[in-house]
Order: sequence, then structure tokens, then C-alpha cells
Amino acid sequence: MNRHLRYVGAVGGVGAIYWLAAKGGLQLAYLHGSVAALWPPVGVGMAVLILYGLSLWPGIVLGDLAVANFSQPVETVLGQTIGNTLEVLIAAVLFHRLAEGRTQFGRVRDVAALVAAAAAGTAVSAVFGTASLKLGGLIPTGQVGTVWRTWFLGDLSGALVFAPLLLCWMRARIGAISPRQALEGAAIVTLIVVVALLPSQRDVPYIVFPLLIWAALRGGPRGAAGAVALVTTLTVYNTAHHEGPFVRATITQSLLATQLFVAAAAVTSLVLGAVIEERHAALDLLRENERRLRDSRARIVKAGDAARRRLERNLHDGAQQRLVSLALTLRLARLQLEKNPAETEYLLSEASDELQGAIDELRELARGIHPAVLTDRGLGPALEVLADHAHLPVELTADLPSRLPSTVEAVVYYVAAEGLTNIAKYAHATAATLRLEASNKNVVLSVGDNGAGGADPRRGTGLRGLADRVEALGGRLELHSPPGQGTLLTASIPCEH
Amino acid sequence: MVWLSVCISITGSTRISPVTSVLIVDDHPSFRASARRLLEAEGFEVVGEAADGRAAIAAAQQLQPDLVLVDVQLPDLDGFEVAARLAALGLPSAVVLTSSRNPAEYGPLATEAAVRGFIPKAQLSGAVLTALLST
Repeated sequence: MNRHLRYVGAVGGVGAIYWLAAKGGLQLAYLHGSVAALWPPVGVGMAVLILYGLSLWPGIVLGDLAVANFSQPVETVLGQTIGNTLEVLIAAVLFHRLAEGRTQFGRVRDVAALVAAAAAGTAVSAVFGTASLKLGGLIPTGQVGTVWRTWFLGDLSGALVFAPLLLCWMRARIGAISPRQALEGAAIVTLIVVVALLPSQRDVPYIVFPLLIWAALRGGPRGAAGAVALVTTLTVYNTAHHEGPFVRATITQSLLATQLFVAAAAVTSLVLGAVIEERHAALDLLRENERRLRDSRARIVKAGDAARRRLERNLHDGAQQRLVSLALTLRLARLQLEKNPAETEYLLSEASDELQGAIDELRELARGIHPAVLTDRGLGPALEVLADHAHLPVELTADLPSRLPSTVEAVVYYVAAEGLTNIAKYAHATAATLRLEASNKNVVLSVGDNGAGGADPRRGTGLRGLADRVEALGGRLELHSPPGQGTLLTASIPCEH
Repeated sequence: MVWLSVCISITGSTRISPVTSVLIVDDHPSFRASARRLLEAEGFEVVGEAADGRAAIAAAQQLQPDLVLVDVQLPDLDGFEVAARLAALGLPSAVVLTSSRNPAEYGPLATEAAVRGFIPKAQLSGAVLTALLST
């Protein structure tokens, strides 16, 4: 019940807004208040339906009937109302589709979407309106073309000016506007009003363009939409009162001149505003990429430092300690050579064991730094060794027509090695797969397991480090790990070979 | 052996008994075992072992050895710090630092510390220790 009441209230609200816009539009009308050069209800209705839902369309019908001229035959009135409602609906739906749900005119294609959607909607309305007037006998056949054009251009102008104004400003956070921006906005508004009132601009309508450009440059789509609405309203108002640069010998000529000016000013300003917004977005993206690049570079340097420290530690604690022990054992053996030959023999065999231990540790360490098989034989054989040494059965598929660049080989190997280590550590898996595919454009390695899944990409620094390495080569690392369904780690690296 | 002449510094007089007692401080058990075996074969008496700096200071206070052989790198305090604390406690023990690293890596630290000398681990022998202690 509540929901229905709310809906009825909203429809009434839409009707009231549409009616207000129409009343305002009629203030701008020429020819004793019946032919409008600029018809705001189209743009207002579009914006309201886009922002608050297409289901509120009955409000458009109500609002339109409320301003209808009932001195005309009922069929003519109804024909125009049907056309006006369809116009708003078609334009709203088309714009929503073409602009992919965006309402802020931040892209040039959003402005193009507005022009296309408004043109389609207003063409329909102009057909309904002109036909209704003709069938009601209110216009002679000879004027059908002119009436259609005037109707079309008036509604189109209304859509181009008022839909962006409302869409850009209805959801704007006024609090986010800085005092400086407000001051600049006030300066632009003042100058526009002054220029519009200046008698000397009678013959130079383009005098407002620097102001429109200023508004778009500094205010983006919102600045453009606001300035265009003000400029065009003042211009149409002036012309309706027989002032300004668009007053011509006949009303039809005045209408055409004004409407073309409105459409040109609106499209130009909105496109400029969108370009400015696109530039801002591109700059933001660039900064964000730069920040990510800087972060990843810092992480790579840090990882390199950590690896060197680990290497020093491993050398110190491993092979070096064995060699120290070996030196001391040999010294002891020499000491015992004369006194206790039997002991010497035992000491020498111990020294030999120490030496073998040191050799083994050094070999392991060297393999960890960069496996010789990778350098000598390439990725396929290196992955075979990796799969062979894994703690669980690994099914390896490596399809490589030739050797890859050494940096790519190293990163792919590193992802495979780290992936298998992670599986051994965390996955509780019983089997793993290593799959390497190379096209002539890129190489894709996937490391999969049948374990517990649910791997958290933020866990530790391991995956981040892998991603950094892959991204450093322009590639991408993806982790797919639904709980209970195993884990798949995929690295794709662009590589021409 | 150039480093020896550089590293040896005299930090007060130490009385050396005929059998020199030694405390070995190192976090690697393998080095403690090899050093103990070698020094004992050369007539030293290894009176204790410690695996970190704090245990070394406690053992030195308790055992009062003639010589404390300390690895520079320990899990808690480093060898220089152990030597400084032992000196501050006024213990008569001579401190000799040892490391598997090159003493040059420690720069002036190796010569400025309150230690009798510095021996690379692989060159440890009773003879070198005796030479150091008699300076």
C-alpha cells in the first residue's frame, strides 16, 4: 500500500516538474506564447525518468495534459500528449542504452548518445505533434514542413540543454565545490548575464563563446551544462522579446536562427566539457599507474635486497660453516698426525664428509639462484626437473616450439617453482598440473592443484612478488581459488619469439 | 696475516695461567664442537660454551675464563657488544673475536672494540690464540 502511495506521489511529482518546465518554456515562446524555440520539458522529463525510473512515465502524461491547450480538438491534444510522452520515453531509454548508464557526460560518446537519443525522441514527437495539428485543421498543408522543423528543433534544443543540466547537477554534491570554484562560477554567470544584456552584442552572438569555453574548461561537463542552460535561456528570452542577435524579419526565421544557435552552443560546450573530463580521467589513470609502478618497483628492489640477504645468510650458515669446520678438522688432523695416526684417519674421513656437505649445499644454493638446466636447455626441461622434484605427482604439459627470451624463461620458471612450493605448503593437494602454452604473441603458464582452494592473494608477499615479476614484463597474474575446488594460478606474459 | 697486526690491541694486562681456560661463544654448534676439539688438543681448557651474547656474559661471570672466544654475529647481542659489556663488568678475561667473515668487513669496529684480537674462524688455532694473549 505504502509502495503504491509512494509511486502515485512520485508520478505526481514528475507531472508537477514537467508542468513547471513547460510553464517556464512557454515564457520563452514566440508568437503570442504558443510556439517555443526551446522546449525544456523534454530535457527535464528525460533527466527525471533516467534518474528516478522509467516507470514514472505517467507523470509525463499528466504534466503534458496540464499545460495542453484544450481550445484545440481533444484528438489533437491527445495526439500531441502521446507524442510528447513517447518522445521523453524514447530519448530516456536510448540515452541510457547508448551512454551505458552513465549520466555525467564525462565522455564525448555520452554527448553523442544524448544527441542521437534526443533526435530520435523529438523526431517522433514532431511527427505526432504536426500530424495532430494538421488533422485538427489547425495548420495549413503548406506549413507542415516548417511546423515539423520548428517542433523538432525546439524539442531537440530543450533536450540538449536541460537534460545535461539536470543530470549533471541533480546528483552533484554542492558541498564539494570549493569557495574558489564557487567564486569563479559566479564570475562566469555574471559575465554571461552582462553579455546577454549588452545591447552591443546584438550583432555578435558569438561573443558568449569564450564564456562557454571558460565554463567548460574549468567546470567540465557540469560547468558546460550550467553555462549553456543560462546562455541559451537568456538568448531565447531576448529573442522572444524582440531583442538580441537572432531577431529576424519573420518569427519562423527568428526561431530557426535561435534554435540552430542553441543546438550548436549546447553540443560544442558539452563536447568540450566531456573532453576536459576525459583528460582529467586520463591524468588520474596515469597517476594511478605511475603510483602502482613506483610501488611495484620499490617492492622488486626490496625483494632483491631480501633475496641477497637470504643468500648471504644461507652461505654463512651453510657452506661456510662446513668449510670452517673442515679447516679446523684438518688442522686438528695435522696436529694428531704424529701422535695419533688412527685418530688422524678418522678426522680425515670426517673432513671429507664436511667437504662433500659443503659442495652439496653450494650446488643447492646455486640451483636456487638460477637453475643451470634453465640456462642450458630451456624452459621445457627445467620444468620437467621441477615437476620431478616436487613433493606430489605433477602432470606437465609443455608446448614450446623454441626457446623464449631469457627474462621470460626466468619469470615463468619462477612462477612454476613458487606455485609448486605454495601447493606443497598450503594446498593439501594430492596432484598438481603444470601447463605451458606459447603462441607467437604470448606465453601462458598455469599451475593447478586439486587441493583445498580458498587461497588468499593477499597472503604473505609471495604472490605479490610473483605478480610484480610478471607485470614487470607486461604480463598478468591471475589466481582462481574457490574454496574446496583447488587453485589455479595463471601467468600470461606477452612475448614475441 | 696482515690483519693480525692491525687487529691486535692491548686492553689492559691479563694474567695467563699455565693452562689457559676458554669460553667459546658461537650460535653454530658445529663450530663450537670443532673449536673445542682443536683447542683441547692444543692444551687449552674449554670451560664452557654459550650460544648467544647474554648466555656468554652470564657464563663469563660465573666461570671467569682467561679467554672468551666470541663470534661477531650472534642471535641477540653482537660480539662487539659482548666485549664491551664484559669490559664494563671489569672481568679479567681477554676477549678474542672470531668470524667466518673477513674482519675488514667490520672496518674500524674490529680494532676499536675492547678486544684482544680478531681471528677468522678458519684460521683458529692454539698457536694464534697464544700469540694474541702474549701481546
